[in-house]
Amino acid sequence: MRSLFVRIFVSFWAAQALFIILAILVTIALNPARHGVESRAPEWLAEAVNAYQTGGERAAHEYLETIWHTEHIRSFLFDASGKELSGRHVPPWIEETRRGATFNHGWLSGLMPERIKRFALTLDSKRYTLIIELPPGPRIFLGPPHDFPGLGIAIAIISSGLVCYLLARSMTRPVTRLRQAAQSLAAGDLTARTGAPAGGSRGEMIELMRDFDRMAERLETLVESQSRLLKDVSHELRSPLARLSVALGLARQRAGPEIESQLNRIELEADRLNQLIQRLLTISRLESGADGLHRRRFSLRELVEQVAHDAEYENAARPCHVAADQNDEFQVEGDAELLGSAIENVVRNAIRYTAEGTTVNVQLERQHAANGDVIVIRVSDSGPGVPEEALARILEPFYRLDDARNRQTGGAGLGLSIADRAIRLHGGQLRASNRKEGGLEVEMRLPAGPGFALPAHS
Amino acid sequence: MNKRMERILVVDDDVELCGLVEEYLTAEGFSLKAVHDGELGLQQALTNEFALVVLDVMLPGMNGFEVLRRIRSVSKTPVLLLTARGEDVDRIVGLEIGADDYLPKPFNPRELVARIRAILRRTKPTKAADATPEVLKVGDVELDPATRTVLRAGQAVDLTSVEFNLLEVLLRDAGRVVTRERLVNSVLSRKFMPFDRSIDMHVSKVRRKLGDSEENGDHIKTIRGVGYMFARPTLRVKK
Repeated sequence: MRSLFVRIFVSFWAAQALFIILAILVTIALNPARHGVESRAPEWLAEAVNAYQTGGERAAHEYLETIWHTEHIRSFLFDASGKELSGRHVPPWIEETRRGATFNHGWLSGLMPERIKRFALTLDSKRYTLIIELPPGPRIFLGPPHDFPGLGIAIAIISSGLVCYLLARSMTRPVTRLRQAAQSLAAGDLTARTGAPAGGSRGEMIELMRDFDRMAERLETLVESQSRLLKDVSHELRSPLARLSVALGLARQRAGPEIESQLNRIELEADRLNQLIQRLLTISRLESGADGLHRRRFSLRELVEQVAHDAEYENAARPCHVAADQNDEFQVEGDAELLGSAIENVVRNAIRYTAEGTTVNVQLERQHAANGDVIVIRVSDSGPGVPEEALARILEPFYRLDDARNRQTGGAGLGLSIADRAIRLHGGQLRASNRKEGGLEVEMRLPAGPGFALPAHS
Repeated sequence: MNKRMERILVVDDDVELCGLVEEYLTAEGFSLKAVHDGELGLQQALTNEFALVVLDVMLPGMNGFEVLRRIRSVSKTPVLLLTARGEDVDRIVGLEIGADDYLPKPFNPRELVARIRAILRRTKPTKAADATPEVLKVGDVELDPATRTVLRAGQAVDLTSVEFNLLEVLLRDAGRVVTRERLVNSVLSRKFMPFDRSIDMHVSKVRRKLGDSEENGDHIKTIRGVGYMFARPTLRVKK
């Protein structure tokens, strides 16, 4: 699976390098400078020899220099013994050619015609040899001319590589930025943007980035307005309740014992209203995802023990027993308030339904798994349990088993929904099942480490 | 016995609620003045004729936190914040700025009275009936319960009444761990709830105000899972 960057980079680079290399080779092959030299070289040889014989080394040198200036062809004159007669320094490859070496380029010979040529002349029974070096095509060989233009090709590859790298980067950078912004947005940062410049250059990529930014802005506005609505609603709902509470307090101040039970009833209903509003708002907030979780590391054992203690405190007839390894803190990372509410809802439910005189058991356990530890909280009661068909439904908001019974024991059917959602928000799972011995068992599983979610399975 | 009625200032934009609260608190022996916006509330609070201010966080105009901030910048008058239930941000920010305690709405008026009384009880200097309360001195920190002043390395430290009480409790048990539960019960006069972090807020404020001790650490140590402890300076062994 190759990334976009790699594909762009490699294909452009290959294309460019190939092009350059072919250009070099074709130029060499088609170098027009080569024509005509073959026919004139013998002439040059004759005149060089003549110059030497009349003027010696200096004259030969002068003559060969002339050829260099006019034709850009380097030449060397040798006598039979191998001595260079114009006094020039003989590069090693020339020397080797004089000795008879030829340079074989193997399968490239067709593309690389000889650039070094030998011509021989015998005069007065002395043998003279002229070796000429043809100019290279493009001046990029930078090395002994008979060699495979390795260095030149290396430079071609490197420079084209650099160009293509920059090109690929500029094309994939917007994609990377878009991905980063999208990921931030999905993770909850509603202010994430790609940072595309507002005016100026158009081009599909920039346009896409601008479209994304506009979409993100709309999202941010929507979520913020929903959040604000929630806050306003909660404020509006609380104001009359606040007044009601104080008025009730006033009534109690003045009332005699004869209406105390009615006042108690009013207080109870007001409390229920308050609780209901509270839970409704919590569930809305969880659903819309408008609220950020306040994550921190804390001891789940401490939390569970506190919740159980409080629940027991309010329901002396139904004790709540917590069983957990005291040496294990059961550290988790998450929103302590939310998880506390969730566990509290489950525990209160258990207490509400368990038979009088029985104990609600809360068990904390750590399970080891391949990709991290899982902490399991198991709340079991000795109540009537839940009919099998309804087990899946009790997690739905407002679902209650038995209307009449629930009005007596209180509760609007939201507690478990909140618990379920809160646990899931932390990457965990909640499951309810009936115990063999009778009663309900609610199991909450949470990842012990931050971040990862438990695999979804039934 | 002629008990001077304590003057309480209530700042809340809900006019009807203020009326009801006034009725209730008057019957409990308090004298009340209610105002309905932040500016007025601030003005009144700064006249210093009130023993305590009950301040609603959700005020229109100048919001409750701003009022609190401005009050705190010049006065140590105790402030009880009325917050929205479930909004932890309100609580935390409020305590940060310097509120003495908070009460979420809707509230039971009995609870309101209890908290007001608790705060006022702590603010009053200890009566002469107690044997001359001696000055508590641990390390470079000195606390005088009679004058309700605190010195650190000779310099005066400015603490709110709740912070003072907190420090006093820790100092009296210096070198020993005081559980968070006990701190909440004695300093905030209320039952310890599982998610209540207000006592931690107060501790961190006191810490900040005291600064580092001579031994390069916090004066107040956190004992995880249990509570806090005011550290006694370790004895230096002379070589």
